[in-house]
Amino acid sequence: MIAFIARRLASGIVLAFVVVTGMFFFLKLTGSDPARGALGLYATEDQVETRRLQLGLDRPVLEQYWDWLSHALRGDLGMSSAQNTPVIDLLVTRLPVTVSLAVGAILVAALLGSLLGVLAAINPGRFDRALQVTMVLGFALPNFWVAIILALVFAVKLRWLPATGYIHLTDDPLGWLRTITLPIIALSIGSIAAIAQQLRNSVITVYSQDYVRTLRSRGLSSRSILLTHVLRNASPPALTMLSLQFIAAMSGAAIIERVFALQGIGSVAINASGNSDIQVIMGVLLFTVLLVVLVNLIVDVLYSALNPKVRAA
Amino acid sequence: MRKIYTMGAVLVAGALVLTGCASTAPEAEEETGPIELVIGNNGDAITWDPAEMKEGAIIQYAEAIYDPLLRKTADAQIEGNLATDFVYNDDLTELTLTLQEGITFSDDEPFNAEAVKANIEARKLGAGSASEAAKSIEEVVIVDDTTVELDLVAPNPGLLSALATYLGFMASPAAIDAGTLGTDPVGSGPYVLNTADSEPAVSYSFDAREGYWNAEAFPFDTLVIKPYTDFTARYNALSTGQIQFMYGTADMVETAEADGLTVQTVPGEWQGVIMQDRAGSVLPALGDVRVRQAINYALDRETILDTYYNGLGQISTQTFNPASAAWIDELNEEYPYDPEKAMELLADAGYEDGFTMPVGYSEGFMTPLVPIVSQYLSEVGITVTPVPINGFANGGLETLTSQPSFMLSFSTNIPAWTDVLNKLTPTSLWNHFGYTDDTVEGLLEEIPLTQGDEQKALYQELNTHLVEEAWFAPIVTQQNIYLSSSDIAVTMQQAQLVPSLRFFAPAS
Repeated sequence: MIAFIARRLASGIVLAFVVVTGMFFFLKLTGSDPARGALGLYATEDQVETRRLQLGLDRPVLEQYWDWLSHALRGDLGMSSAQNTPVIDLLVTRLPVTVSLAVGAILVAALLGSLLGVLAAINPGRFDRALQVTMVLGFALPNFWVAIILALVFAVKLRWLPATGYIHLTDDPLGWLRTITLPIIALSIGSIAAIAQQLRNSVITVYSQDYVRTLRSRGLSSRSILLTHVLRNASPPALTMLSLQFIAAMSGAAIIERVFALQGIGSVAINASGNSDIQVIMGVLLFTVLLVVLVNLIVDVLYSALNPKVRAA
Repeated sequence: MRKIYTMGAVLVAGALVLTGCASTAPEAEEETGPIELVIGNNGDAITWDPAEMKEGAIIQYAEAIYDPLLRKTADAQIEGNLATDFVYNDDLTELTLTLQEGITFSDDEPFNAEAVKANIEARKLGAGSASEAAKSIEEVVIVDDTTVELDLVAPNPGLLSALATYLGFMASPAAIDAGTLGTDPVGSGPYVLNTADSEPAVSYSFDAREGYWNAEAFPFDTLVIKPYTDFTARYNALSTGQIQFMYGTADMVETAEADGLTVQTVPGEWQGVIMQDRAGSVLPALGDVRVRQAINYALDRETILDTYYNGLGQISTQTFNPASAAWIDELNEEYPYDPEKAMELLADAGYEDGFTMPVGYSEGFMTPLVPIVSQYLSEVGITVTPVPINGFANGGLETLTSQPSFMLSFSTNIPAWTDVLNKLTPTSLWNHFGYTDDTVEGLLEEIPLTQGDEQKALYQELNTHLVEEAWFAPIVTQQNIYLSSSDIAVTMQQAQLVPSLRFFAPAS
């Protein structure tokens, strides 16, 4: 198992390296100008040129890349050109917001998606059809629209939950839960539908296999067959879907954060793009890629626990 | 089954705890408690250094910390503040300021002539909104501790206004020397930043300064400014009592009134087309004044105002602020909707078969207006080729300003000289093709040398010339919309994106 994890970790690190390297050169190719972005439209060319020199943008691109990479490996992601703040500080402050949303949404999606998927699979007929329609609807609804409606109904009209803002978990756990409840619901609707649909199909497929009939003929209870045998074999595709949904939740969080005025990684990324703040964009990208690698690793480990043959692959 | 009931009961109990423990509605103010003002602002204070701050709604952050030398009244007239008196010499090249005595910064440094000199010199080096006006000051001469003389490179009609905002915001000279203003603001203003209760990009809390010289004008004990980039989120925050004031949009007015909020308006930005290739170097058609006039005749401003802007504004052929010296009501009758006249003018100019006009625009708030303008122009034979940009970064600004024409929302200012600098000089950002003519050139030389009625007449002559020569095709001067809760009273201020903090008070 340790060798398997090490292999997956190594491939994840290579992936992260390739993605951030590609993005660095891509940003350079777009002609982004962090100096102009930081100083604004009305700064003179002289001021912009001075800032370019301060930021080291006059150096060869390869030298800039090596400078960024060597510092990043030591945990120094540089300074935000627009905000004059260490990028690492910016990300560490904002990451808990986005991670709260993405992880919360994935947990809710995994729980409810699995429940609905299994219920649909074992209750064919009207119940399954009704759930199918609901799932398609949940999948089709844009999460920003759901977020706006949730805020309107539960915050503005009913005043049950706050319309905007975020309270840190360490400051007030219940307050934290109140501020992330609506964003998590908005972010998880699509994922619930996707996971439920995937698990339903897998469970139905597994149920139709010969060994399940054999288990039934041996007199095993339906509950035992479902929990011990069917779900074990039906879960891998749903786990893959779960990791994909985590990536979707990370990107979807950027929009949801705006609706609820949450200052997470998404808002940092949007502001950085507007200001051509390359250091921040790279920092956000690195953090996001590492998170995705971590989630994929967890999924791979679970996958291999369910199916030991995977470790040999 | 029992398990299901138990689980259901647990979920219901959890939901009740979650939703019932705290109400988001504002709690009733105790009569003896501190009075708090919470503002939702469009922007974020990414720096506290007035030399780096850019114009816009963030002026409220600056006003909390820094006192300006002069200040603007609600109708945008200039009056004394830290400088009680301000006098120009005869040829308008020297401005003498008389300063208040006994004022201190929040680090106990004294405010005096040395402090004014240090601030203005620092502003010259910055890249903020104050930089341009600061550079028009050649030297700050200290006459005595309470008198400074600003020697100008040339007369500058925008100087007094600049001294009432970012150029005039006074920071502690010690903080300027230390280079710490960007993160640790020190001013002589009504509030000090409470860093313990503030979280960058989320909420900034300010405490009233004890012994502040003009405390009556700032009656709130604490001030909180929360940056909100999203209009819907900002409105939700206002309607649930999380904030008390915001800059709104036209589509919010009806809902806000139904929600019991106060809706106020002030003439604000103009929207329309800048036809900047007036020499016809890229698009020869725009070099002919008849074509530019035809574009103005082709637009049905009344209908667009009613249907697109919900009537919130006024039709306009002018690019100046309605309360400025340059504005003339009658000029708005210059181009009534007349497509036949437009086609006649195009035919006279040799474009009876029409032509194709690239129009740059910034995606977002301009996106719905572009097809409306395109449709009106197509009715007289002009085919618009939209050239969208997604923000000014990453080459967007260069793409926009390289088009022969473009559409944007433009601020209108008092004094009108700010609009001159933005759009009318050969080096203005929004006159990228550098076009001018003898009349404009002459008037721009004369205006700075005059004051009062004489200056007003010249501004109006300039405005009339621009409208007749159709440098622009404005559609409306729209109303800026402000929403506030019923527990505060806000006096609207002309020609400023958001009202100054001293125009906020508890509702009587």
